[in-house]
Amino acid sequence: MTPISEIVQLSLKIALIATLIDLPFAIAIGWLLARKRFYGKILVDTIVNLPLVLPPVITGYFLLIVLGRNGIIGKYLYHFLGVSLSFTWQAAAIAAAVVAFPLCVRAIRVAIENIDPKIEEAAHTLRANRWRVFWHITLPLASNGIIAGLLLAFARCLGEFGATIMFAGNIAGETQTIPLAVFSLANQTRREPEIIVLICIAIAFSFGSLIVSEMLLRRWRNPVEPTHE
Amino acid sequence: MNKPLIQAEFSLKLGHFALNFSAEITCGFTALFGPSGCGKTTTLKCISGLIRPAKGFINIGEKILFSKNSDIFIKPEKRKIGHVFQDSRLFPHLSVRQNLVFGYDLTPVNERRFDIGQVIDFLGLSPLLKRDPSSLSGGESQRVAIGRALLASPILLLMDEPFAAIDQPTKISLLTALKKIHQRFDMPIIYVSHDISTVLNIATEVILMNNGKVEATGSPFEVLANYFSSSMLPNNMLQNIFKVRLVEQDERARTSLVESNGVKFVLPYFEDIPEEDFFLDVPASEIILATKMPSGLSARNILPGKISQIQRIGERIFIQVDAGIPVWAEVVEKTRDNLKLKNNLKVYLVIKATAFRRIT
Repeated sequence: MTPISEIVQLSLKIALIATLIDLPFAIAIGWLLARKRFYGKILVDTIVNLPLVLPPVITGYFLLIVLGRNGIIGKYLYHFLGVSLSFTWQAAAIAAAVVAFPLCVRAIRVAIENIDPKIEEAAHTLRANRWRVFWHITLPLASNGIIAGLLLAFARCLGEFGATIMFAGNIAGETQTIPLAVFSLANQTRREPEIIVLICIAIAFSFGSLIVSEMLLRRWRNPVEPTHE
Repeated sequence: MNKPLIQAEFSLKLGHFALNFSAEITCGFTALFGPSGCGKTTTLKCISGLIRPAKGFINIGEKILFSKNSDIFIKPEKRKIGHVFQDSRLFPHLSVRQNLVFGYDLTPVNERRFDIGQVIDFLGLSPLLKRDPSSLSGGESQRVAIGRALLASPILLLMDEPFAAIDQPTKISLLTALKKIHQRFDMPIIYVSHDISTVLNIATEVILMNNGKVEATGSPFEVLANYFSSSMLPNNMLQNIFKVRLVEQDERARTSLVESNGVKFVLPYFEDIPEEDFFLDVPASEIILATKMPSGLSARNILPGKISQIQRIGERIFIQVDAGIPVWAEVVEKTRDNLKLKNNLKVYLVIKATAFRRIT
């Protein structure tokens, strides 16, 4: 049995990387869904949200079909680059990223929808092109939503089980995150003390990320105390 | 200044509303008038590039901003047209100072026409610089919005009812600031408004719109005289607005003496002493005209002058008298005929001390 500290470290690493993978895509898709009208928008919206309702085991199975060593894309990765993703910690990060993605997109999309497009219009009349408006107006104004989305995604990644076990397996020291470790320990006798410690850590992290997200949101809402004369 | 700055002919449909704009705009201080829903805002947005018309063209100077036939559409950020909106649209995540320099920073150094300090001083923004936009009053926000637009060095400033939600005194001082901006910096302005009385003192050109179409363009009185019926005008339609400073207070006589460009007015005693220049307004309808020096009157102000123009708006007649400063007086048609009022006639303006209203 791997020491608990290593399990926790691995979980944090995987969740953090999964969240970072989500970030650019979630901002892009969130912006697209909030600001653009295009053909097939409902379809994109549905596909993005699918991991939210699909059993994670099925999501994991799809990942295996697509990115596994013999998968649709995976076989080329293996053939040309010698890379095999399945049953590695990277696979665990990808699985967690996919499952947490809709939560992240949702928060960012709402944040961008809440920005008055008139503010962006005003920026255009001040010589700012689309790119600058996005970086200097849209993104900073959506920052609270983006951070909230990332923390939500992080918490979800820490708890990810189904897709991870399908795509990354339950390999101690490589892909065995907190939920998978709890699952393994529960099948053994007299492991309750370790289970309780892991459960407490899981609760602490989830609670922590949610509370930090809430605190950050509050701070962002009142950035500086206005100085009245 | 006589060559039109803007030549435009464009049309578009928004739901049931059809806009067919066609005008040559000289662009001094141009007022764009019309009832609400007539397409004024949409017209401004087409000029600044926030809306793309379906047909037609828009030229500014020699430059083509939009042409359906040549498939040209210059993006708003490339047009160098400032746009001040009714809701000031300041960036909520930036300080007042950061808002001001937003466009300035994006303006190439050789295109910058104003200096940051100059605009801050001119609009009196220095006490606001560190503030958060959400803490500003309506008038303060609009001053920042105007400063922000100016600092992007526009070749034309569009103002969409910028002072509609602002109290009268603040509005007058902002309008006066705008007029100075127009004159001192040679900045063409198109000002959308439905409030005729204040802008009439300032505008050099009026465009009248109705139902998505331009009904008339020309000098303010030409347009109003021909296209407005008097029933459309509010009661005291024409306000004289004077910027004055206090000369002296006579506590015994309970009067105050103020001066505007060398012309002195007697007013009721001020309980609080105004420190700097301030504004007075007096409706044209409250001013009496006399062809001879009147005597035995209770009115405290009798000013000699010469009639400089006579304008008719619907059934109402407005006489402008040059008494050192231009003053509008309203008379009925019969009076004009009886007194044989005509240009260059020497007249006396009679104004009661209490007819003046201090607005700042």
